Amino acid sequence: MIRYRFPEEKEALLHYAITLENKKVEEILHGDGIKSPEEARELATFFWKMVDQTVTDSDKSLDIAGYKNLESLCEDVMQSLRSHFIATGYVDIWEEESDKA
Amino acid sequence: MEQFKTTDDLREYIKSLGAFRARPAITGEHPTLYLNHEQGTMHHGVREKDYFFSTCRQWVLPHSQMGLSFSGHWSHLKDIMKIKTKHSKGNAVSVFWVLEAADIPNGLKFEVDKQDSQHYFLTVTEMMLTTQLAQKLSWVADRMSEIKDARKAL
Repeated sequence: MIRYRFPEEKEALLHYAITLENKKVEEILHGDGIKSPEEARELATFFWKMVDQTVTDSDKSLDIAGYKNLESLCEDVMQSLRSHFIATGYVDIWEEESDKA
Repeated sequence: MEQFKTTDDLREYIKSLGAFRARPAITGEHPTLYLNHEQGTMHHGVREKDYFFSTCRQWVLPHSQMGLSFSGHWSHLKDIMKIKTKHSKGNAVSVFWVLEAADIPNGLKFEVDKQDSQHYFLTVTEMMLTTQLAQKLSWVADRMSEIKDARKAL
């Protein structure tokens, strides 16, 4: 299970999973977190796509999970996801996808 | 003040610092205080969710796993820098850092995140006024070294 430091992180992740039409990530978020290397890569790749989308949404002053400036929200989400990748043993996949972003 | 042109140059420099605690900041942002009120609820530039506040929000209470976030490793710092750079609207992103062994004000202490050994909290170890915490965080910022416009190296 992903342990979020703040509840708005999950709200934002789910919002972007729906917006970016990523059913696999929705299932990971609704389930017990990542359970395979494939799911780990899907979630890590999705996170950086989400960050790109938050830049667009910030420029449009959209309100996402109660925030208009989404920079620090992305940092909070990143921290919770990094911790989950470490706890599940998939931090190398996180690093690989981070390097590509 | 240092400037770097490649990721390798910056990574090697960061590694050479030893045990550091770092925070990137976009030009115009403060290294340790949030002056942009669109980032959530703030009290004197301190994010409410970063610290354990009293009900009246006038006081901050000790907590070993709550505090301002700092990177303690290149890998963590790189991720935060990427987010900052994407949100920078083309402005420079600088890295502000202190050594683990550097003097920090009484009542503050770096604590490793129990969920991520590359991440640290600048925690409060004794009850203090919110205004005192803001002053102490500002004091820390004044003593941080700066790697100017580090996004060029990403």
